[in-house]
Amino acid sequence: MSDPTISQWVYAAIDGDQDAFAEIVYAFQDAVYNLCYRMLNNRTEAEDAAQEAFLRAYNNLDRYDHNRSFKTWVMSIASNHCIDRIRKRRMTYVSIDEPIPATLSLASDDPQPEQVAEMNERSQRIQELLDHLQDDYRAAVVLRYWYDYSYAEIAEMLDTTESAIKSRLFRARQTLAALITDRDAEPGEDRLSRLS
Amino acid sequence: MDRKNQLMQEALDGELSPEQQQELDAILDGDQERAEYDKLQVLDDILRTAPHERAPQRLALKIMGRIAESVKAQQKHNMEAELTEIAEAVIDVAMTTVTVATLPLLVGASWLMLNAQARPEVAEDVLAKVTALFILTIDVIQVMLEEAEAAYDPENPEVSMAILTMIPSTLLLLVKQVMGLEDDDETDDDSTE
Repeated sequence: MSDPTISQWVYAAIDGDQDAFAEIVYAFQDAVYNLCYRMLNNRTEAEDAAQEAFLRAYNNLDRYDHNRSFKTWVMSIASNHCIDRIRKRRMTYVSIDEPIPATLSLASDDPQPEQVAEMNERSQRIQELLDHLQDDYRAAVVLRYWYDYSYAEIAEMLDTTESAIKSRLFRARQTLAALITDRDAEPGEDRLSRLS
Repeated sequence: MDRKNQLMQEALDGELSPEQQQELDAILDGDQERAEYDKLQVLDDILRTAPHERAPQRLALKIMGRIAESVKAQQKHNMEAELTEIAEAVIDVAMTTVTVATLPLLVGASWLMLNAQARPEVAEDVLAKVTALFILTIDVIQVMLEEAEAAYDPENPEVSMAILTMIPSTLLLLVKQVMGLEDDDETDDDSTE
């Protein structure tokens, strides 16, 4: 998918073409949802946050700078929205049991059920690690590792400096590495380092 | 961030030059530093191969549904703002119409009262007529405003406007009926004959 195609969709969406925006949604929904899930660790909330991020993007299309990557712009909206949610959640936190995913879409080229179960388990364990990080540290880790954004891009998305991102990322890595070591040392715990 | 941490970070990011790699190797000769770096590498491997969560089915549909609702709400809001402007204009027209319509009635009623003072025996009859005239006037205006409101269509507001503009002529007709006056045109026609 070429950037010019996305640009065409964006221009059409600005002109009120909702079908063009639907193409954008289809193109980036997985990336935005994964970011929201990694940030919020709750599938229902992640789905709602992803919807909200796209809605905000649609309502602010006229503010989009066409010199920037559209994906980066949407991801920036989503990550900042998730950070806001986490901060609000701290104020009014209510424990909710994480619902089991309603559907695991299994198309013919999808992984087998055992692989899916293994992936889910791995995904959940990584999520448990991420949960120990502050919201802005978590955002830096997710944007770096899942989306391979540069420090400069992450800094722009989170409205901070490159050196701040480097520092956050290193501290986050140290925290997570220490957690892995601690958990591996606990008797009866599954070894997290098996995940690698 | 100190030099050791900086080098470790850059090593994890794959951005070390050969000279920096040598510098890091020298630092990692110590057991503690080596252990720390190994832990960071394990973590790095875990995160680099972390699975991506796929969006749930129908997420895109839900998003487009919310966008459609949002657009509809925005359009409704814009239309209401537009309607408010139209409503203000209609009220202005209605007030002007009512003023124009009632002014001759007030003048006529005053004339009747003045004449009644000259002939007290007809005062009671005149008062009854004037009162009836005002009640009828108010009723006619109210009915016609309600008709105008009921006929209002944002895409075709001319119908309501037409009803409002008929108020003066309707009232004039009413006055002529109540007062038993003949139509001017008919009078002219009669005189010509």
